Amino acid sequence: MSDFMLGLQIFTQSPINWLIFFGGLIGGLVFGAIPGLNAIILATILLPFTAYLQPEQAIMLLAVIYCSGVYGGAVTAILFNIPGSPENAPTAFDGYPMTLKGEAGKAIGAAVTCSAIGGTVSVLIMMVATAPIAGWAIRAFGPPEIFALIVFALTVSSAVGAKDLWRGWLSVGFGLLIATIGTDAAGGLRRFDFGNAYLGAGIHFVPLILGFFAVSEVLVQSRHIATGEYKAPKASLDFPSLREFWSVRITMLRSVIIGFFAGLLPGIGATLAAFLSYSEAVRWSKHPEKFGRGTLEGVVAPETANNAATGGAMIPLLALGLPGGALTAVMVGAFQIHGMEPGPMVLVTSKELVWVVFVAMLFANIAIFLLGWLETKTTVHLLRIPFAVLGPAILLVSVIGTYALRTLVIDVWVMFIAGIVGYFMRRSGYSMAGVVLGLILGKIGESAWVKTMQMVDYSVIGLFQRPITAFLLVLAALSVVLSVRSELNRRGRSG
Amino acid sequence: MTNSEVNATTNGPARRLGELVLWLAIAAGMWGYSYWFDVKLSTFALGPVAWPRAVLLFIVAAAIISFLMDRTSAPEAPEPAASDSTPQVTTTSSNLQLAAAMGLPLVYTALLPGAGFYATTPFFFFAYMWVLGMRRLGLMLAVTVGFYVLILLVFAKLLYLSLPTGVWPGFYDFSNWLLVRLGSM
Repeated sequence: MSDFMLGLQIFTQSPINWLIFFGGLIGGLVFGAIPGLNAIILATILLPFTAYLQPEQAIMLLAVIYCSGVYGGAVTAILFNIPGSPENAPTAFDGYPMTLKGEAGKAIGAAVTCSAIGGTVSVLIMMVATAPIAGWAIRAFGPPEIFALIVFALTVSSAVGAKDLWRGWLSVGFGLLIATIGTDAAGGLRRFDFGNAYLGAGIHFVPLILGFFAVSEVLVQSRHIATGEYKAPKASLDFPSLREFWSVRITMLRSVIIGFFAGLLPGIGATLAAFLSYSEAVRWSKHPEKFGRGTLEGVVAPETANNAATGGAMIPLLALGLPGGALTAVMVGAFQIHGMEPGPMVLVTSKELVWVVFVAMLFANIAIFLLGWLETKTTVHLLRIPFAVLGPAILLVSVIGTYALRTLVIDVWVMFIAGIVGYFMRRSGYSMAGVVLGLILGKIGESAWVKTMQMVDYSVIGLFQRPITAFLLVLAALSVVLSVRSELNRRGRSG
Repeated sequence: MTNSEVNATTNGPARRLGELVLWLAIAAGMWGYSYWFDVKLSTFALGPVAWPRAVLLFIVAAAIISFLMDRTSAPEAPEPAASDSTPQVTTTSSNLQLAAAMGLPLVYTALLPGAGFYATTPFFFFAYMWVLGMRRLGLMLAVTVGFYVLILLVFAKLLYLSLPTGVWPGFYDFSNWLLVRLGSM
């Protein structure tokens, strides 16, 4: 408690700290919401300027950007099917269908509240348990466990949004296949590049996500307009009721745990946290068939988890000096600019710095709730704009976001081609959520698989000698059996 | 995917066979291409082809299962006739409208390297509104100008984003003139 008070005192005593705090908060929200831009880009842009700040101000700025940036992309994911950042992609799976059903206010309200709760709880855990948790997680979760976790996540959520289980599998397979384009995880060899340097470097997932979600959605709505089927979504301002929040309390709790532990593991972070949490919400739900069609749980799970990951990701950084993701790696850069190295000694030698960062992250999550509440009451009105205006605006923002990523026009081509492919796949009952799931988890999964095979000397039996890996793989197999049985039963009933 | 999209799926035998053939063709093509990088790695005994080939086998299996399951399941009920409130008219004009909605972004992208973002964007925005059925010219002009100014202020002036300036004579000069005026160069 005295440490917290020390951090609070240092944080509040300087108006510059407040200025940096609010600058980081708004910057993260804005950059998180614009597709193609994200909190990492903002942090990278600002990194050289942190040299002019005090060390605690520099790390605090980046930590606040991290918290607000993760939430920022949820609003565009819900309102326009444009995930601002990859960690908001699963939010669109159910958030956008909720908007189409006239429940945009509820979806944004849930995203705001859950982001704030997830972030706050993870910061509180971070405050009390940084050192012991970091040590355990790093020891217990190696590549085999991460590989098994990904297999499990794919088996559980593959059918989300698809017409049937098999098309769900094909959607995931398609995403996994796209993820194999580019250099391989083991030897850096170019695969499926067809002699093209762009393909040799691998297709960036941002143009693909924007294509599969935003562009395909504009095309679907264009078809609805052309055939006279179009119905404008209602701009509702309803916040979820306390009763609705109470009904998703278990999902929220589970997502905090998943998000926090996913944040702890180097290389995993908020994106996988959101996908895993969504998968688990589907698995535990009494009505898994509602996922992908606009259920509150589908928004609550990823948004709680991706913000909970932020607190988790700070633990290995501060306790062990291991950055878990790109933004925490930028923070290592900020430490080094000030002649410091993050690690166990930071907790002893720079206690003030650590506690100022903790306090700022706590305040950032509380501020997300307040700002988010205002956002709910204002941004939903964007839905009142006719789609004839909204459609080209969505396409243009997506073009700018995609081009700004690497200043390559070919990325814009990829985005529009992905949009057209996505449109036809949706027409045939395939799931864009499945494709994106395969795409994102495919790269992490293959990398973990390569390391796993090397670790177990290419013996599958070796996988089952690790208890957590064996447990997750058995759960994955069970999940496949249960999904097939449930699909066959469904067909039997409809036949 | 929304229910309406699922319902919109036409599931005739020819379409089902077409889907199977497409997936098998993709898998066969990619499998064939994988021999180009089927080399032994000293660092990884299974080589760079193992993972993609496993994915391809999974796709083939899922496509065949999907085809067989669709064949054995009862034929789906025909889509209900469109009611007056939701007229569903698939005519040549609606197909043309959809083709324009797909084609216009491709034309815009093709023009970006030569004509640049700044010169083409207002025309794209205006044309896309037209494609989506808006016909009030005054409003369309006002919205186009308003959105264009907003984009310039946010992305060019505030965030200094590098957007294509074009290389064709006249277009490049226009982009530069605009960026200098905005103080972004």
